[in-house]
Amino acid sequence: MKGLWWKVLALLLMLYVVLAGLLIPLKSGIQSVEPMQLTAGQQQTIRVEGYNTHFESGEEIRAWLRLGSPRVEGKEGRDTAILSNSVKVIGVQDLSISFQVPAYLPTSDGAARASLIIDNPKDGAFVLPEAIILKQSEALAGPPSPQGWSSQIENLSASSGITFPFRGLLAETIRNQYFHVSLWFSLMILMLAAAVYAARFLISGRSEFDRRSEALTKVGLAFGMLGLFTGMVWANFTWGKPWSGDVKQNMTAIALLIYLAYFVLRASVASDQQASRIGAAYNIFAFAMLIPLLYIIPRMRASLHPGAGGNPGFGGEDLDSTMRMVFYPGIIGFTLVGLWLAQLSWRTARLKHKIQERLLG
Amino acid sequence: MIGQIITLLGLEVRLEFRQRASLAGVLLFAIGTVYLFSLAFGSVEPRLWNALFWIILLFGAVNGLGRSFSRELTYRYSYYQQLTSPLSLYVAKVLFNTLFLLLIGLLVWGVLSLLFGNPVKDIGLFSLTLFMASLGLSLILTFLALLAGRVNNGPGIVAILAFPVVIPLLLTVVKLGAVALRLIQQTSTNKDLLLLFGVDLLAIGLALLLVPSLWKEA
Repeated sequence: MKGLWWKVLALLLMLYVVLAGLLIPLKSGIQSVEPMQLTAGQQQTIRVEGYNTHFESGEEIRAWLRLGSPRVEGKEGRDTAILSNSVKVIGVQDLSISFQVPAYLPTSDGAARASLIIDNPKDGAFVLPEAIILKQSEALAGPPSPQGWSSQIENLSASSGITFPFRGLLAETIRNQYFHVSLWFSLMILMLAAAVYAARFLISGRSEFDRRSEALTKVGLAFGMLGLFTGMVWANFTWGKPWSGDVKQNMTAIALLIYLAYFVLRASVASDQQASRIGAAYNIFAFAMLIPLLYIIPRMRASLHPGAGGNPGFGGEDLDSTMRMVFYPGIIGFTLVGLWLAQLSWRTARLKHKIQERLLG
Repeated sequence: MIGQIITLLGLEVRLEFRQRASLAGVLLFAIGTVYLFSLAFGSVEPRLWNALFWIILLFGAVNGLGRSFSRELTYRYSYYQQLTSPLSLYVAKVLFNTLFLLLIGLLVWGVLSLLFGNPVKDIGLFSLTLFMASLGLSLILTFLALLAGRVNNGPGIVAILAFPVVIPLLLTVVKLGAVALRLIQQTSTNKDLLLLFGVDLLAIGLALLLVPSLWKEA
C-alpha cells in the first residue's frame, strides 16, 4: 500500500510519545526544606522532603550546603561548601541532616544563600538551588572568614535509569511539554501549509488546493483548541489558575477567533467559487496575523509564559536530552496525525465535489 | 497610479460631502453615546474617558467603514474594473477612511472635552496615537470590507471578522492613550508605537498581496 508507511509511523510515534512521556519517572529531587534559615556558628539540623527518592541508610548519603560565589570586600570569592556531619533517614522520602555551620561566613554581606546538594548512591546527586539562607550570628560578629568552608563536592554518584528532570515548580507537569508544546509546533506547520495551499489556489485557481487549505485549517484549529486546553491544564498547576488573562492566553484566544471567523466567512458566501477565493485570501491574512499574535506581542508585554515578556524559552536545563528524545518525536507524530486527519477531510470534500458534478451532469 | 488615487480620493470626498450619509450616521452614533454616558454617569474619570474614547472610535469605524465598497461592488463594479486598478481604488479608500476616522476622533475628543473636561496631558502623543489608530483601523477595516463586500450580510460579517483582528491594535492604543493621560508611567512607549507601526505595515503588505486577487473575480 503506497502512502501507508507514514500513517503507521504516525501511530507508532504517538504510541511512543504517550507511553514514554507518561511512564518514564522523574529524577529524584528536593521538594522542601525546613527550616529555611540557619544561623552561623551552631550545629544545625534540617528536615528535607525528597521527591521520587529511595533513601535507605544514612551512612551512604552525603549532603552539602554550597554558597554560590560569596563576596569578600567587593571581591568574588571561590565556591565554598560545607559537608553534613550526620544524615538520618526517616523514610524513603524524608531525611534529617545536620551541619556544623562555621562561626563566620566567608562573605561580608552578613547573610548568604546556600544551595542544598544531596548525594545518594541509589538516586544520584540532586540540588535545590538557594534552599537556605545562612545568617551571621550577631553574638559572634566578626570579619568574614573562609575557614571551615573548604569541603570539596566530589565523587558524586550518577543516577541509574532513564528519567526526566525534576523541577520544583513543574513537578510531574513537565510531561506536558510533549503534548502542549508539540501541539503548538505542529499547529504552526499545519497552518503554514494551509496558507501555502491558499496562495497556490489564488495563483492557479485549482479547487483541489483550496480543499486542502480548508482541511488543514480545520485540523489546525482543532489542534489550537487542544493546545489552549493543555496550556490551561498546565497553567492551573504552575500559575494557580487555568485562565489568568495572561497576554499569551489572550492573544491565543484572539488568533483562534480569527481562524473561527474563516469558517463563518466561507459559510456566508453563496457561490462555491467565491467562497474559495475569499476564503483563501482570508486564510493568508489569518496566518499573517497568527505570527505577531503568538510570537511578537507576548514578547513585548509582561507575561508568565516561557518565551514571552522577557522570560527565557523553555530550553537549556529544563529540556534535557532525555526530554528531547520524546519531545521531537512528539512534534513529528502530532504533525503526521494532523496531516492524516486533513487528508481524510480533503478526500471526503473531493468525493462530495465529484458526486455534485455528476448529479449536475 | 498616483493620479488615479488622487482622483478617486477627490471623488470619495465629494460624494461624502454631497450625501453626508455615513459621516452623519457615525457622528450621530458617537455624540449620542457620549451624551448617554453623560446622562448615566454625570462625570467621567480619566480612565473611563480613555476607554470610552477608543471604544467609540472602534465602533464608529466598524459602522462607518464596513460598507466602504458598497457602491463599487454592485452596479458600478464592471465600470470601475475597466477604469482603475484595484490597488489604487483600495489606497484611495484607505486614505479617505483614515481622514474620516481622524475627523471622527477629533470631534469625539472635542465633545468629550466639552462634557467631561479634557484629561489629555500629552497632546502630541495622544494625537500621534489617534493618527496611528485611524490608519491601522482604516487599513484593516477597508480590507475586510472588500472581503465582505460580496458576502450576504456583509456589515455583520465585517464585525465578526474585525473584532479579533482589531483587539491587539485597540489594546495597544488604549495603553498609549493611558500614557498620554498620565494614568500610567510607561517607559516602553516607543515599543508600543513600533508595534502599532508594525501592525500598519503588515496590513499594507497583505493588502498589496491580496487585494488584486480579491478584486479579480465578480
